[in-house]
Amino acid sequence: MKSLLLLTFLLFSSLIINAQDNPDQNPNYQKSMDYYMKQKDELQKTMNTTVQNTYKAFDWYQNKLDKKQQRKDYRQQVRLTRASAPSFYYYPHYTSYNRYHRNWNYNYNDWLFWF
Amino acid sequence: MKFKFTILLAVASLSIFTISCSNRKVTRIDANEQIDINGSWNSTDSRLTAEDLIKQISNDVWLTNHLQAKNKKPVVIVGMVNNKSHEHIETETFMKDLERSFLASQKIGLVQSGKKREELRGEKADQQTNSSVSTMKKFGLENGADYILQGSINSVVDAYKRQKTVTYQVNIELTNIETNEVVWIGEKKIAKYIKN
Repeated sequence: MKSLLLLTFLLFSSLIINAQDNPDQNPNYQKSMDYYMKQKDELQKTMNTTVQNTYKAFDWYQNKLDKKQQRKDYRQQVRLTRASAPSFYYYPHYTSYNRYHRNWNYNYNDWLFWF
Repeated sequence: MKFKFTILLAVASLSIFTISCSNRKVTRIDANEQIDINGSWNSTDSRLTAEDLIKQISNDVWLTNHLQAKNKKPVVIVGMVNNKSHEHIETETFMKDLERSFLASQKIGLVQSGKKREELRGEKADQQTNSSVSTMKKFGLENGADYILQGSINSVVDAYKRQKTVTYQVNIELTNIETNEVVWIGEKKIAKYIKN
């Protein structure tokens, strides 16, 4: 009976020693462990990847080229807009007086009537 | 009839114009050849970074310290690299070179991480129901990493009119997972002068 009790005591002692084998370990480590175990999947999402946190650096020359391109695009857009919906005030066709005045209530988007 | 002929002529002219414009020529070059086109981060920068970092990590004192303390080779896992520069840079090009050097040297062990590790675990899970018992791989027997490799890329740009200088700084850090102790920091600086 005595030996059985001794054996049980030894078994429990070894279990306790194994559970906290480093005496320097913070006794509250379980709190932190529980906190991070819950969100480990989220924290590991970027593992082995490159996270792109790039910024836009000011480049005088590139800026100049970009502005030039913007102006070209804007002019092209204006031309396209004028072509798709010619205004009564911008490009009136004085080819024929009667033709010019025959549709006072024309549809502005319907440019086919000019031809 | 005349209208049809005009359309035909227009299509033919357009075809000739398109064919004459497509004078693209492609030639194979040596992957180690240095060709700088617009001054951005390129394959040469990636290669130089990899070469320098491999030299630094394999010759540093952290490796001997680990071998003395643990008497077995360190196991490394690759973490995140944060690109904080002004350009899109894919770091896998030089990180893979670094990983390959670990395996080639046989001095540093490597474990899989990220999406590939997820895929491995998925496969293992599948084996639990579909593989024969003798070939089924068990859960809970993965190698735990001793160190994690993390990094960052920063850049400084100074530009005026047609002149520009760009400096890239690549830092890769090796940290002990258990103690959070940074045991090694590798650095590679690449500076460029660009004149348009």
